[in-house]
Amino acid sequence: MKRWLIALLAMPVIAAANERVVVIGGDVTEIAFALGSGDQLVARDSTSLHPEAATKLPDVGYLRQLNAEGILAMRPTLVLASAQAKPSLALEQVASSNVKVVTIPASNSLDAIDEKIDAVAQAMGKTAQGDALRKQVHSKLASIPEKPLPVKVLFIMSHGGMTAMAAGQETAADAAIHAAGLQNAMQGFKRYQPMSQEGVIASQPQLVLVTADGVKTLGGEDNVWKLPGLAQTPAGKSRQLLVVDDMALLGFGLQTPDAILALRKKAEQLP
Amino acid sequence: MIRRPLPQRALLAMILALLVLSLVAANLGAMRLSIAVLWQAQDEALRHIWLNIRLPRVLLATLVGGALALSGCVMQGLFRNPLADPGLLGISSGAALAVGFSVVLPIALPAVLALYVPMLAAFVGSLAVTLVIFFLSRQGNNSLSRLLLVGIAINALCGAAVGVLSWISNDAQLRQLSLWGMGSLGQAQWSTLLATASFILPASLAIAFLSRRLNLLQLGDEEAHYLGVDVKKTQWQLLILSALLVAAAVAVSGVIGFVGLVVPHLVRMWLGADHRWLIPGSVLAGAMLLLVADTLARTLVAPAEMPVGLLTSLLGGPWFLAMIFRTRRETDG
Repeated sequence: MKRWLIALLAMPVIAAANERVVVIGGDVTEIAFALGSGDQLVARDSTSLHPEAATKLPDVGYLRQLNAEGILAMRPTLVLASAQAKPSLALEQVASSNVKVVTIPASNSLDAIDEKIDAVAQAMGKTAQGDALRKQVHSKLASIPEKPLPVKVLFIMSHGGMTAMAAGQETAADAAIHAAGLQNAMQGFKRYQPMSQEGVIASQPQLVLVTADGVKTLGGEDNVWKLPGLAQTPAGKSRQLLVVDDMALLGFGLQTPDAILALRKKAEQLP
Repeated sequence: MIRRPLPQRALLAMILALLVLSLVAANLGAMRLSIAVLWQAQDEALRHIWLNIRLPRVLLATLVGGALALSGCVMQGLFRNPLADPGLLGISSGAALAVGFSVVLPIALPAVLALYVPMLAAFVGSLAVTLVIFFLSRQGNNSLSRLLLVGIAINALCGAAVGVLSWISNDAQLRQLSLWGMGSLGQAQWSTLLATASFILPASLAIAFLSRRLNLLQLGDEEAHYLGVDVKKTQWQLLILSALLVAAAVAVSGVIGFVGLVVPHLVRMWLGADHRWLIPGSVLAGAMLLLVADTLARTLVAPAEMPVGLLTSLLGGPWFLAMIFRTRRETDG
C-alpha cells in the first residue's frame, strides 16, 4: 500500500521527465540544451545546428516548411516551436492531435532572449535552471557598453551565387548593430536589398560584417572587398572586416550577447 | 491497326488500381500508421491523425492530380495540339500570379468567402491567360511554335510580376508566397478539400458531358459546325471549365507542373483519341500519378517533406524533351 502511494506521488515527476520534445528553431534548441533538457529532445528542425548534440537528432525539416505528420511521427508529447515556425496549419494539426504546442517568442531584440529562456524553462518545468541561465545572460549583456558609438556598420548577406545583399531596417542584423550601440550604415530601406555600387559608397561604412558562410561563398576575405563599391568606402580603405556566425549574431539566442560584445569590441578598436 | 484494350475494361482496371494505390498511400507516411487504426481503436490520437491529416492529403492528391490531367486533356483537344498544357501555356502561372496578388494585397471579406478567395483569384488569373492564348492562337495559323512562344512570354511575364510582388511583400507574405509557389499538398485539411472539390467535381462532370462534342471539334471547326456543334459556344464552355479546374488546383496546391502534359499523352497512347474514354482515363491516371508523387514527397525524406511540384517537374521535364525530339523527327522525316 505504502509503495503504491509513493509510486502515485512520484507519477507527475516521472511524467515530466518522460516528456518527448520536438524543438523547432535554432535558438529554442540551444536554450533547451542549456537548461539540461537535451535528453528529452527527440527531434529538431533543420536550423538547429548548435550545440553539436542537436545535429544527431532526427530533422523534421525547415522551420518555415513544417509538416504535421513528420512532427507527429516522432511521437512527441510537447512541441516547442519558435514564433517564426510555419505554416501555422501544420502546428494547428499537431496541437489538435493532443500534443502540447508551446510557441516561443521570436522578436529581434535582446529582451527576447530573456523571454525565450523563460518560455522554454516554463514549458520544460525547469524554472530554477531557467533563472540561473537568465542571470548568466543578464551579466553578459551588462558587460556590453551602452554608450552609443558613432560607427557606421554595413552588414552583407551573401549566399551561394546570388547577389550580395545589404541589411536595411527591420532586420535582425539592424537590431544586432543597434544592440551593440552602433549605427547601421544602410538607411532608408527595409529588409535585405541588393547592394548598389553608389549606395554602398554613399553609406560610408567604417566596418563591414559578413557571415562565415558568406565569406566561404565569396571565396575568401579578400574577395569581400571586390563587391561593388566596397573598396571605395572607409571600411574598404582600411580593410575593416568582421566575420560573424549568423546564427550567433542574428538568432537572438544564447550566443548573441557574446557576438554583440565582439562586434562592439571590434568597433571600439577601429582606427 | 494497333490492338487496343476494351476501353470499359481499361477504365475499370484503372479504377481498381487507383483504389489500391489510395489504400497503399494511406498506409504510408512519416508515421507508422496503417488504416487498421480505424477499427483497432486503442489509440484515439492515432485515429485522429489518420482521419484528419493522412486521409485529406490522399484525397486531395487524387483530386488535384485528376483535375490537372483533365485540364491538360481538354486543352490538348481544344487547341488540337499535343503540347498544350496549363503549365507550359502559362495558365498555371497566371493563376499563381492572381493568388499572389490576393496574398500580398488582401481584401477584407467575410470568413466564409475567405476560404474561396485564392480560388476565385486563381480562376480570374487562369481564365485571363486562357483567353489571351486562345485569341492569339486563333489569329493566323495555329502553329505549335507560336503557341509555345506565347506560353513562354506569358510565363516570363507572370514570373516577373510574382517577383515584383515578392519584392514589395513583407516577410510573412514573402514566405507564404515562396512556400506555396513550389507546389505542395501540405495544406490538405477537410475544409480546403471540400472547397476544392466543390469546384473540381462539377467542372469535371460538365466536361465529361461535353466529351462527344470535343471529339467532333477534332475534325476542324467547319466540319464540327456542319455536324451540328455550336463551335464557339462549346469552345467557350470548355475553356472556362478547364480554367476552373486549373484555378482550383493551383489555388490549393501551387504550381504542380507536367501532370497535365504527360498524363493525357500516356492515356491517348493506350486508349486512343476518343475523348469519351480519354477524359475519364486522364482523370484516373492523373490522380494516380500525383498520388504516387505526393506519397514519395511525403516519405522520401521523412520526417521532413519535399515539395511535390519539384518531383513532378523532375519527372516531367525529361519526358517533355523526349516528346519534342520525337515530334521533330516525325516532321523532319
